[in-house]
Amino acid sequence: MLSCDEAGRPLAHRADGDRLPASREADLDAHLEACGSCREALGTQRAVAAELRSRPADRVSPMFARRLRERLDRVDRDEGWLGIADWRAWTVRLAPVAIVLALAAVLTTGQTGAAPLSLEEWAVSNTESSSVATLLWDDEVTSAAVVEQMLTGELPPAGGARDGR
Amino acid sequence: MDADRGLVEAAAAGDREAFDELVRRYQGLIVGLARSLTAGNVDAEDSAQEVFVRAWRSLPGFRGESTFRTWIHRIAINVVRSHQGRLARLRRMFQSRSADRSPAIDPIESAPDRRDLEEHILLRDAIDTALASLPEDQRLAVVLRDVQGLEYKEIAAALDVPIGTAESRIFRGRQRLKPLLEPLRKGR
Repeated sequence: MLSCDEAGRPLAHRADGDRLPASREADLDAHLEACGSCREALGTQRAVAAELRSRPADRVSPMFARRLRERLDRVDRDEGWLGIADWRAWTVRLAPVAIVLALAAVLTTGQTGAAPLSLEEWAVSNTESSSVATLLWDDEVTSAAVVEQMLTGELPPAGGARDGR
Repeated sequence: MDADRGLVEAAAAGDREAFDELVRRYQGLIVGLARSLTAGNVDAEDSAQEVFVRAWRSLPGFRGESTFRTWIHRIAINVVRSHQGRLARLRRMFQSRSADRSPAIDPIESAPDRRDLEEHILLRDAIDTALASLPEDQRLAVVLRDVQGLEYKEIAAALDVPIGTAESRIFRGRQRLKPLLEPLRKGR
C-alpha cells in the first residue's frame, strides 16, 4: 500500500491523464480509495494544471526576428575575424612558406660555403647587393632569375635575366 | 524521434535559413518561458535573443542526445538564471546606495493603471506572479510541465535531475499554487 508521500508522484501523472504501468495504477487506486486527502490532492493537481495551461501565450514583437538576425550577423562577422586572428590557423597556413624560406636559406649558404654572417656583416653586405626579396618585388625579374639568385647567391648580370624570358 | 532533426543538422552545418525556421518554431515558447520564470522582472525578449545566440554558437557541438526542444529549454533556463543573478546583484547594489534616500519601489507593483491592460495580460501576470512565489526548483518544473508542455522525461533532462525528482517537484509546486490561484478561479 502506498503512503501519501509515495502517492504524490503518480498523482501528478494521473492529473495529467498519463497512463501509468498497471501495477502502479492499481497501487494508486487502492490508496485513493482509502485516502480522502489524496483524492482532494488529485482534484487540486487537475485544477492547478488546467489553470496554468490557460495562461495566454506570449506574443513576440514583430521586430524580434529581425533583431536576432542582425545579432547573428554580428556574431558570424566577429567570429570570422577571430578566425583570421587565430594564430593556430596562421601557423598552419604559413607552414609551406616557412619551409620554402628555410630551404632557400640552406641552399644559399650551402652553395656559397660562406660562414654565417653576423648581423653587422649582413647589414653591410646587404647595402651592396640585392637580396632575393628585392628581386621578388621587381616585376621585371623573371622567375628563373629569382631561382638562380636563390641557388647561387649571385645576382644575374643587369638586363641578362630580364632579357631571357 | 526529434521532429526538428533535419533543421537542426542543417543549422549545425551553418545553414542560417534552417536556424531561422527553428527560431520561428520556438521563439514564442522561449519568450514565454523567460516571462513566466521571472514574472516580468527581466526583459523576456532580450533573454530569448541571448538564448538563440547561444544556441547558434553551440549548435555545431550539439550531439543530439536530447531533443532540440529539451536542449533549447536547458539553454533558456541557464540564461534566465544568469540574468536574474545579475539583476539581483544590481538591485542589492542599488538598494545599498539609495537606502537612506528613498524606499525601494517594486516596478511591478507600481505599474500604472493595470485596469487599462487587456484581460489576457492581467491573467498572464496573475499566473506569473503566483509562479514567482514558488521555490525556484518547483517553479521551473511546474512551468516546464504546465506552461511549456514538456514531457516528464524532457523536464528531467532539462533540469538534469532524475525523473522522480521532477515528478515530485511538479506535485509539490501545484499543491502550493492552489491558494494562490484561487482568486483567479473565483473571478471567472
